[in-house]
Amino acid sequence: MEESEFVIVGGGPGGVAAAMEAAKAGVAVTLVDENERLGGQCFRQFEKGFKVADPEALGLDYKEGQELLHQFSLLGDKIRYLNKALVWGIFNNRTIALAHNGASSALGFKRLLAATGAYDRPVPFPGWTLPGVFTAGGAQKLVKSERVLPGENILLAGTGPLQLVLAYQILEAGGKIEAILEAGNFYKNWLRRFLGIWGNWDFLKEGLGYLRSIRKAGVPLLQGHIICEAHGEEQVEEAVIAKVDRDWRFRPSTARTVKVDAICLGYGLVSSTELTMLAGCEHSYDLRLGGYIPLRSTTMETTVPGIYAVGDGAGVAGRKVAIEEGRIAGISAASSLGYLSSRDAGEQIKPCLKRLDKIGRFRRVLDDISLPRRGLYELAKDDTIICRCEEVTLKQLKEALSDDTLQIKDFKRMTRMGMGPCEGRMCGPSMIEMMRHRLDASAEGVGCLQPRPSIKPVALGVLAAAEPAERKKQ
Amino acid sequence: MVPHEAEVVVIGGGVVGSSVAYFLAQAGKNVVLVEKGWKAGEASGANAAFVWSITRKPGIDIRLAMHSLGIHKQLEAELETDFEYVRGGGLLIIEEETQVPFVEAHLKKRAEDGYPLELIDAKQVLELEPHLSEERVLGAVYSPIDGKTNPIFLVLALNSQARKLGARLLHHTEVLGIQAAGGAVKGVVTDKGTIKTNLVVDAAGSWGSFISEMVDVKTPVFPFQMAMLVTEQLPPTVSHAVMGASYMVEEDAGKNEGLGCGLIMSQQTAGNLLIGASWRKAGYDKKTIQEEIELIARVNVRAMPMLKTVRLIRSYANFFPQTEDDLPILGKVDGIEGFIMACGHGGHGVCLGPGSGKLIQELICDGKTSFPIDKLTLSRFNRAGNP
Repeated sequence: MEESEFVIVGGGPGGVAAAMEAAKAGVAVTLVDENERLGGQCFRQFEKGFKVADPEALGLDYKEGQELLHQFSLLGDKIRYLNKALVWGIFNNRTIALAHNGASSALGFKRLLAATGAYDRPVPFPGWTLPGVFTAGGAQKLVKSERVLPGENILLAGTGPLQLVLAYQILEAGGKIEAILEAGNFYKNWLRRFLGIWGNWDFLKEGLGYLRSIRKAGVPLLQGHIICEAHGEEQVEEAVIAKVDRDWRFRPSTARTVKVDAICLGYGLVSSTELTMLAGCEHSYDLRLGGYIPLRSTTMETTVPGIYAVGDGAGVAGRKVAIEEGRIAGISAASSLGYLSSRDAGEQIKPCLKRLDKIGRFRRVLDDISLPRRGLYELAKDDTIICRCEEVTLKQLKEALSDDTLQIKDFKRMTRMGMGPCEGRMCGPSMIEMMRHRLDASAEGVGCLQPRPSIKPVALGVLAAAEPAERKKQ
Repeated sequence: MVPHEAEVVVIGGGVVGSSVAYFLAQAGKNVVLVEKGWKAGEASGANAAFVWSITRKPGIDIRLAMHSLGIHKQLEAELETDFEYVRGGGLLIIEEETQVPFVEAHLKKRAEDGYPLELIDAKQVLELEPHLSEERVLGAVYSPIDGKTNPIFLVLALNSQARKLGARLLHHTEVLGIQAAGGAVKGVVTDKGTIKTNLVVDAAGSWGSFISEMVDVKTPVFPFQMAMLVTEQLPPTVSHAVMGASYMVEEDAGKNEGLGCGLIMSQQTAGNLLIGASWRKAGYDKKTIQEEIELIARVNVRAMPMLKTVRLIRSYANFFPQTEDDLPILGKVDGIEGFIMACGHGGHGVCLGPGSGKLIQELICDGKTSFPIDKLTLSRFNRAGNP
């Protein structure tokens, strides 16, 4: 079996930063990433064949990403980089299982970093399964790497600053936006509260830059608004939007219909924790940070010794936090492997912590504003599908609820919710929130769906093609 | 809190315990079921979902299986919710020449016992299951009465009906001890309180021995791990319960120490294929390992090449409550009044559970069973745990 001292799963900002720090210290690093090219969702690069004429048009994070990736490429010979490699399991906390080049294999590690990122928070409402309804991340991928617009007249609905980034990218790509619905209250809370935060001018400048372009294009930014329903025969034709109260419950009297053919939903992100959960790391629930997230020490180590977690997969916090956390994990791993004295490691980590602290102050404000409120989880009607893979409706879940079912695991058994190919990634987070609110139970009381290998779908032919040498038939 | 008293306390909420509780409630008994974990949370929720008789041995084994197949049919009519029981037929596929003598010997003994089986040739097999590889099929034993079910739905259906009939079901409730005095059961102590009772049914599967130890009874049940894979949903692809004849060959059937795998396939009503199955002695470990997942994929892709492009979405493992003679332990226990065993069903708990439940109910309510089960009592084992 192949082995690498430090295996990093995920080639987004956090994984890349960790790889660079560890490699600089002399560690043999293997970086494994599912995508064809490095950068993750945040620094997503173009599919081969595209040329970037105007990096400015892709947002500031694109430029920043290019710089980081350039630095990474300078360390090329010191880091083993596997692209299009899917991690489908972790076993005995000493090896990960890879699907790569059409065959399954095992890769041993001494230290592991999960930099697995996050995905868009699914919010079920009537019509959310219609073609033409995109996640903000999915739409961003289309626009950024494939240069395809999701529709001709687009509605953005959700919360938080990532919506502004997407809007900016759509406009720069020549798209038309009907409106941006922000469930929270941007101007009132956002900008005013920013004034109290010193030292985050970068963020502020960036945000204001996006806002300016949106205003220039004449796109209405409707605060305190959400999408309640989407209608259409074959695909989205219109959306019902309305004002909300402070719990984000919509006011029926304010509901109105807008004609759109695409809807992008950006209600924040949910951490991808399949790998750390499968590894048996302890997790705790924090809605602000993206649901269940692994508990970590200040060195980014989880409760399983030797396994680290950084970035959005360990609590949604954006690329700047991911980079600093990645650096810390890289330095810590190098130190624990004996490549750096603990004093040197401590010295190197200090500035990262300082920058993290600075970002942290800013983030708390953002978190408060964009935290999903309970009204959002009351939009689904009886016939609304909650689990898309198994087509389980709210009504079926309610019926299960009456049969003394309180835990997600029991819902799964009774309704097949979460049993599809996404393994509950789509329905799990909503289910936790709906149960929390409907029964006033804590998230811990509701439980979560335990991932089992394979954590992502893998073709049986790929598994069957595993190196026979890996087989230790006794 | 738990009820203060009950006529019968059933320990274990799998197919076996849920069947016992259902039939007792139906017979009007005041019954409480205690389960430390989830509904169908152990082997009952992680198996091949077969309702199967082909490989059952002559004698009490096939009689119990046939009895239970009938009870599955009865439950299908009785229970209000569907549990996806389909008698689509069973196929024991002969994949290697070396398996032939074992299969022939089995067929001969079954015919002598009055339970004959039908042997079909490769062409007939491929007509029944066209996706199987021509190269891997030499022939098969066919049984029209075998099939598959949804064991989790079966448990849920049994539980909800039992509750309607007055049974109380306590999940996430752990049995800590059994009170006894003068050689008779007096109560069950749980982490949520004590239930006074004179009758306890040990349907705790792989934990059956821990429960019986509470009344100083040693039960030779050991955990035996089996792992399986779940694929994405497919259109109708496999219509039978399919098993490889390697299971008939003693040395392949898990008696060796290492990792083994034999062909198992069935398609759930929802469309997912359950494929397996690998085995290894792993104690009470429920995790699957990379090696066995890859091995199961290899065995199944070899038998059905179209599976190459079908995606795995999940794997699961559980341990079967195995006994040395591969038969369950059913009935009263000498020396302790009111302690009844219904565990050790090995890999056949789903198939034999409903039948066992009915027999235990008859034993409790009538003092006798519809056919004799003395060959299944604990007393068949000597001190070393061998029959």
